[in-house]
Amino acid sequence: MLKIENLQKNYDRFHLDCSLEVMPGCITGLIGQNGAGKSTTFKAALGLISADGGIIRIFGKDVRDLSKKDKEKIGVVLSDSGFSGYLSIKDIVPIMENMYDEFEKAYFLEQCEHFGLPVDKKIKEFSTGMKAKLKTLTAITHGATLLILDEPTAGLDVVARDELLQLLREYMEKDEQNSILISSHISTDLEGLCDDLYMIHEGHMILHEDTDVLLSDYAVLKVREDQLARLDKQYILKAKKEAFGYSCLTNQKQFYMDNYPELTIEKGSIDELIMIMIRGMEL
Amino acid sequence: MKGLFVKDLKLMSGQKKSVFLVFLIACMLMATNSAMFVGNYLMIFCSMLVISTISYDEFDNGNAFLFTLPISRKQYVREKYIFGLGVCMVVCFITTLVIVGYQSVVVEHYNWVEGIISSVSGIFVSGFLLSFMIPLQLKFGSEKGRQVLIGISGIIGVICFVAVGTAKKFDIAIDELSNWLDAIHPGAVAAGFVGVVLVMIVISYLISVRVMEKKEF
Repeated sequence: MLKIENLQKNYDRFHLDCSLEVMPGCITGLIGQNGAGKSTTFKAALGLISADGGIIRIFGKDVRDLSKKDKEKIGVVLSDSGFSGYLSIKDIVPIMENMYDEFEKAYFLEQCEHFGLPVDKKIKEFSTGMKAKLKTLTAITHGATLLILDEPTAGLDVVARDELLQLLREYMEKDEQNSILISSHISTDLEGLCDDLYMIHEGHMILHEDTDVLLSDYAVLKVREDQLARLDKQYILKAKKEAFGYSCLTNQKQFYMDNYPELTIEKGSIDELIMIMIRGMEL
Repeated sequence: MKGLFVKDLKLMSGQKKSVFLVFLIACMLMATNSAMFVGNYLMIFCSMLVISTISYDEFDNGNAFLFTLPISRKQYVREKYIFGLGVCMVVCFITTLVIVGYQSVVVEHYNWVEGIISSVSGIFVSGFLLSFMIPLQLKFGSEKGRQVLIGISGIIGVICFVAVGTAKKFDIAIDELSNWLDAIHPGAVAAGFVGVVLVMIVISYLISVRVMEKKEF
C-alpha cells in the first residue's frame, strides 16, 4: 500500500532518514516524541514537502505520479491542518461531492449528527475535539483504501478517543484491503489498534515490531547493579539507569524468565518501551 | 477542479456583509454620476475578494490539507486565475448593464457605446491587479504579500518620479510624447492595453505555478 525506502529530508538541525511499509489490510502505527520526525514523514509521503532522497511509493506508484483517482483513494488527517476554518460542514459537503466520486454524503452527515457536530457553524469555532472528529470523518467517507492519519486523536478526551478509534475499526472491517498508517503520542491508542509499530527517534526508525510480539515477548527487567553484572546481555536492547539499579528492555522475555527466575520482570507498556529505547543506553 | 470552484464560492459567500456594503456604496456613488469610477471601484473590490480566498486557504495552515485532496498544485493555480477572472467578468457584465441602463435614463443624449467600452475596460483593471497580486500572495502569504505589494508600488512610484525628473533635466519633451499617444487611435490603445494585460496574466500564471510547485507545507 505504502512503502517508504530511505526517505531523506534535511533541515538545519534535523535530518530524517527512515523507511517503513504499510501492508494491505494492516494498521501500522508510528510512535515517537514530539519533533522525532513523524509529521515530516507523513508530509513527505503525501508530497507536501519534497524529499532530498529515497523512494516513496503509494499503490505501487511514485508519490509524484499519483493520478486524481489514486489520490481519491487516500484519506488524510493532519494534526495541524484541515479544511479552512471559514467553512462550515454545510459548505464542506458540496466540496467533497465535487472532489470525490465516491463521497458517502448520507453516511458523513449521519456521523456528523452522531458526533454532535453542528453543520452550520464555522469550523474555526469548533472545539479541538470537534475538529478532530470532523477531520477523521472526512478521511473515511470517500471510499479511501489507505488512510494516513497524523495524530488524529490529539486533544481528545478518553471517550472521544475511543469513539474515534472505533470508527477506524469499522473502516477496517468494510474492506479487508483497507490500510491505515497512524501516528500518535498516546501509545495506548496504538496498542489496541495497530498490527505493527514503528518507533522513530531523531529522524531514524529505532524499532519495528508486530504489536503482538511487542506485547508478548518484550519486557522490562528491573535489576540491581550486581544482578546486571551477572546478566546475559545478548537479548538486552537498551538499559536505563534508575534509582534502584537498571531497567533493561528485552525482546526475549521467556529467556530471562527461564534462566533468571529471581529477577523482577515486568510486561512493559509501550510508553515504558519508548522511554527506555530513547533514554536508555546500549550495554 | 470543480470542487475548488465550489470551495472558493463558499469562502466568498462568507463575506456577504462586506459585499452588500460595497455595493451600497457603489449605488450611492453612481447617483453622483461617477459611473466610470464605480465600475473600476467594483472591479478592484472583486479582485481583492478573489485574492482573499488565498488567505482563507492559508488560514491555520489549511494549504497542507488542501493539497492532500485530489488536486494538483498546477490545478490550484489555474483555478485561482479562472475563478478570479470569471468572477470579475460576471461582476463587470452586471455592472455594465446597471451603469449603462442607469445612465441612459438619467443622462440626456447618453453615449452608451462609450459607456459600455469604459465599463467593460474594468475587467482589464482586474486582470492587471490579479496578475500582480496572485503570485505575490502565493509566494509571501497575506501579511508579507501586502507589504511586498506596497513596496513594489513605492518602487514603481519612485521610478516614475525619477524618470520624469530625468526627462525634464535632459529636455526630453514629455508633452510631445503625450501628444503622440493622444494621436493614436483609441482602438489601437485599447488593443495594446488588452495585449499587455493578457501577456501579464500568462507570465503571472507561469510564475505562480513555479511558486506553488516549489512550496513546502
